[in-house]
Amino acid sequence: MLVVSRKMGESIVIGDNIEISILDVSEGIVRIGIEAPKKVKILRKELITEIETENKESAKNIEDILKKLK
Amino acid sequence: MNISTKFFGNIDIKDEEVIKFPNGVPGFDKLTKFVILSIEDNKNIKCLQSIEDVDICLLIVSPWEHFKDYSIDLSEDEINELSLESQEEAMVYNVITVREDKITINLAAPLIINVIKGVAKQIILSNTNYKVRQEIPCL
Repeated sequence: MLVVSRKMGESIVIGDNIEISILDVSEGIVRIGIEAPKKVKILRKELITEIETENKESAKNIEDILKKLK
Repeated sequence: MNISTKFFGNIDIKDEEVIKFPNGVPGFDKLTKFVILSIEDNKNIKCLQSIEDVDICLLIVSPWEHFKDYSIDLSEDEINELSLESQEEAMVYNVITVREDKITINLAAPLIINVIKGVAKQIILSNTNYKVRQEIPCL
């Protein structure tokens, strides 16, 4: 993993079209501004994890409901 | 093609019934081939059965049965990934989860299927108020 130190107000550029700026740092929270083309999907990682967990959860315990439906 | 299923035993399906998820399904990244099976006596709920892992079967429903105003914005990349040329080519399902005391539907990550080309992807919506665990009253 590439690790870069940045101060408030500084930014990094990824490729030709993506810029990530550090807007504010206070009390353990970093506010990040992202400029990217609309076609680039930006998601909070925990949402992806939540969807993965949810799918695994859905694959469990479905016998009961199927029995009821059949 | 003969496949094993979790709830319907071994069944024959046509090659064109196979739905490809090129990047897998979140949580099951290695599973790329699925088939949608109907449940007798219930038109609303279907099973998304993995062809590669008999144990993996998700329950899916059409969101509009329960949420008439449900809407999805796909990004340019997602439309290209699914080779969608028109809205009519897309079919939408959402995964439901049966819990001890309730049933929830994942409105934050619809499954979009290009029915013409047989490709699909579970799209995680950004900037949405839709919930991963939206309770539905009954099926």
